[in-house]
Amino acid sequence: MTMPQPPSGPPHQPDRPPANVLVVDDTPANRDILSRRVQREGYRVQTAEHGRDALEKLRAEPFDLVLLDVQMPVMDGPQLLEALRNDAELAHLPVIVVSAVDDIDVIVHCLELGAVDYLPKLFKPAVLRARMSAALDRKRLRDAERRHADSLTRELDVARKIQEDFLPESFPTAVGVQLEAALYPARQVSGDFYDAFALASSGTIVLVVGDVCDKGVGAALFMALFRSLIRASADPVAGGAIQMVGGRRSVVRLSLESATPADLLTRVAGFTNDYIARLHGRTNMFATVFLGALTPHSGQFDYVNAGHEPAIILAPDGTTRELRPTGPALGLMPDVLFRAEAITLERGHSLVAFTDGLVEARGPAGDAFGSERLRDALRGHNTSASALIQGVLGTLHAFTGDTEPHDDVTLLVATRTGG
Amino acid sequence: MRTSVEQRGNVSTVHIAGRVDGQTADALQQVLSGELEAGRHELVADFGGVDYTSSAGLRVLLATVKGARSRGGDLRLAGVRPEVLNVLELSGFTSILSVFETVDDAVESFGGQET
Repeated sequence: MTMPQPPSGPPHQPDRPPANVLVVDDTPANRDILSRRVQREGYRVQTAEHGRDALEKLRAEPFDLVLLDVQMPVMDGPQLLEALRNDAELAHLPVIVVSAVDDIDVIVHCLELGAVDYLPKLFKPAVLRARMSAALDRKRLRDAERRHADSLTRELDVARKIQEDFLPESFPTAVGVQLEAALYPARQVSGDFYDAFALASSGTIVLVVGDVCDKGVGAALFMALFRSLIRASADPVAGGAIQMVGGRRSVVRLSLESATPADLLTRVAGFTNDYIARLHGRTNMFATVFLGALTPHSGQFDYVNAGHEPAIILAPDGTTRELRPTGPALGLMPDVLFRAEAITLERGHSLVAFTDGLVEARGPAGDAFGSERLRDALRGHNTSASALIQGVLGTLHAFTGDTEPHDDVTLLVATRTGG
Repeated sequence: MRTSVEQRGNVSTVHIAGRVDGQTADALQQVLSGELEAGRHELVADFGGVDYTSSAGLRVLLATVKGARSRGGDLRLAGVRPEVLNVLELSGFTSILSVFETVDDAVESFGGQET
């Protein structure tokens, strides 16, 4: 980054109000001389008699710069500098120390306490002008950077809130099925997503866990697209996509209602894959997605694992099996044929689908959480879907401690209850 | 992450060492794109020194293989370590990318005469 050069022209530009300067000195004559000089440079000036007086004035209205004497009664210069440093609102206010003291140690002490510059009491007007102008330029740059950072933060907050709306507000309910999920973004916005919805026609519950490549805002935009394509192509009636076609909607609905869950899943995977690969091929974005369809009464579970972390089937006795990929990640290349596989989710068994942010989460020593710790945590909390989620997240947080997360973490559990 | 480029005949081999992740993927993309833009479309990515790749790294491979093929060339991988190979297999990248045991195998697979 380049710092702007100190301007050689007038101290303030016409489109900006003049800077507000506080002159702090206990000697009236010094105050007057300095104030007049500052005024002559085109700034607004107020005065304070000592540090305490200055602090009150600084807290009462905004100032841009302080010219500060060192030795004063009540509160001296170094004491005021310390008070400013400990005040979040005033910590970044530039202070130039004006001192008759030729003791270099005092000046160094003031600089260490946060003063930006110093002036001898017998200064030349040109030196005052240059030092004030440099300090004010730095402050303006700082203020601009802070405003920019604040506005970025606000934008990301808006994005995060909107993104939450791309996750289901509630889960479908079905007799004998418990559903729970959790998502922790590593940053404000996430490339992970999950979804769960029941098909109006058959009551089949569609479960989705996805992880868009890379992180941050780009991944978050594509998360919204992937989720919407999957939801709308799986359930055009509730999803609303194909209803737009008007008169033909009943035909579409009939053809989908008669489709088997496996047909539906492979069609959803193929459609989403081709849409991304053809319409967004230039961005080279893709997502690994686990797509499942659970028939609640029979426990039939069809799935397409598109390049995603293997989901885990957890039995009541703690044994596990993996549902490994049945095809590549969605969006890599068009015209991929996706294959579905089917198992039965027995009563008392749970499906655990998650993103790699869970098993790749790092502890303070730099090692990964890993699939063994995940399995142990699952076995230790194998009583209900919510106990599994809470147990895994508790174990994960105990493992990572205060380590900054490097990836989003998503976990979805579907438990088929016994009886 | 460090990279170096080696030319053998028409084939450019990019040797990569370290972690390919969100921090380093852009640098790798620039090296690989640089080869394509310089007219070298037969590329080997030597992954022998890569101990980790995130999805950001996979995205670079996807962009490069598409770019190379659209120009009549290809991107082929060599020396991929088991843990990285596992990531490529899970995500389906081994179905779109050719992976070879050694750099020599990958370079020779282009069938160009070495001069």
